[in-house]
Amino acid sequence: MSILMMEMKALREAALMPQAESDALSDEALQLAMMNILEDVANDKSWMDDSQKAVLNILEDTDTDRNFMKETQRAMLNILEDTQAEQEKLDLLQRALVNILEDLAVENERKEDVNRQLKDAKDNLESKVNERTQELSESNQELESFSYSVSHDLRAPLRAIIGFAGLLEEEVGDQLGDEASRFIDIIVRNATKMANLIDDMLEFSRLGRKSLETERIDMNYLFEVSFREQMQDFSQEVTFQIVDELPHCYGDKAMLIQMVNNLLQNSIKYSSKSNSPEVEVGSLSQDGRVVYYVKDNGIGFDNAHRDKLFGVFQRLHNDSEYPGTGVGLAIVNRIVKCHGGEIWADGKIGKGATFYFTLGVAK
Amino acid sequence: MNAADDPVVEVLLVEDLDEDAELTIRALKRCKSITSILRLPDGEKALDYLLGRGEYAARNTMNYPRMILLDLKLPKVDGIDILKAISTKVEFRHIPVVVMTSSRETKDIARAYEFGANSYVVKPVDFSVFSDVASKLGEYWMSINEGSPKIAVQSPLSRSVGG
Repeated sequence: MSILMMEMKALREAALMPQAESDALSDEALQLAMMNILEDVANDKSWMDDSQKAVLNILEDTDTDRNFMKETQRAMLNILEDTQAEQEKLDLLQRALVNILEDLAVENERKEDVNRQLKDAKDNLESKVNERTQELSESNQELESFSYSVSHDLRAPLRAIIGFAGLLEEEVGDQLGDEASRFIDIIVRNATKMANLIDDMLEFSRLGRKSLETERIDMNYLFEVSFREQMQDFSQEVTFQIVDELPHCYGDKAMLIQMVNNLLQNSIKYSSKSNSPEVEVGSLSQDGRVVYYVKDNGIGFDNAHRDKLFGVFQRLHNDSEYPGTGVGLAIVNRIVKCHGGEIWADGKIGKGATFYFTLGVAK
Repeated sequence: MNAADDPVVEVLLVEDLDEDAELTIRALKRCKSITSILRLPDGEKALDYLLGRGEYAARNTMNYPRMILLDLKLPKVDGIDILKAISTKVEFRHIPVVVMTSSRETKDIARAYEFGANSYVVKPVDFSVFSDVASKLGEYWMSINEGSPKIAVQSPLSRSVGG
């Protein structure tokens, strides 16, 4: 109970006192009581002020707290907002991931599709290749039987022409005039030439059907032996030299022998009308490959016509001056190509010719 | 069949081309040791002759030719088949067989030897070379080469029969 309330109680009690008793109280005492009451009220008032102040303080504090709370709330809201944004981002990310996965699945499907198509194409290709190979081997067989009958049937009539022209000469040659004998000669010579053409053509076509049997080849030996052989049917002196040692190569021996034969034959033939025919064989290194060369000091050729050198039945010189079928260098060309090599030539009219070739076969 | 229908044959020439046959016979005749040549134009006739079939059914098949000149590319039965037939009969293996053909194909050469050819000659186109080669072949197989006694024994006999 507060002091104020106690004073009030005392006051009321005094008022309720019987008259006699109240009369007994002096004015002074009443005054004192009133003073006390007033004092108490004042005290109470200051207390109340204090209380009010305290309440105000509290309220103030509460207010601060509320602000703080508000801020906290706001912060939390912010955080929540942020979280939500984050969540949204995550959602987006997730959606993106799902999209990516979906895309991947689609991609995968497409890949499988492409793979399937590729496999189909491959199978198709394989069967096509088999088909073509079959066709090729058939046409190859046809060619083979063709060249077989060429070798048999085309030569037989020529043999008869040459043979019976010869018999005519033998039987009645002495009764024939010079002119008639010359005609027989022409018949025989031309039929013989045709027979040679057929032989060379056969050789050329045979090369296209041959498969390579590769071995290590000593090119020095090949050129030396070939030159000696060529010179057996040649009356003229020819200077022959191999510059330094030729590097060995890998190739089909039978083919390379023929190639070397033809190249040397060519050089010897076209230098035969020089005062002192010379044939030189050598090698050089170019772009990491070995280039062999065969050089002569013969009649040479105009570089403008060099593309024609290696064509079948292509000749740059007159047959009566330099007899030949025009197949020799075509055969050389084919052999070089069979070996994955290259061949080219350089010449100058009256200054000789040089034939360069590479053989691309690795071990 | 009397003796006149079964004359002695020293050289059996199996050649389908008349011109080649004529040239060959001409050249062979230069060779003194060859007195009789029989030319047959196809492989079937050659087998008939050797085996005594068909028009040669009455022939004494023991009268072996002293050599056979055989073309490879023949109508009906080709040269390789004749070589095969010859190699399957023991007595026939004593007859020298010279393949004379236009083909220079290595496959043909290898097959000819595989089935028992004794020699392989590519017909030269040049006439004088051709004559020379044919004469030399006759000379070699009929004079220089010592033939199998199995055939040599038969020869005088058949010669006396054939007259």
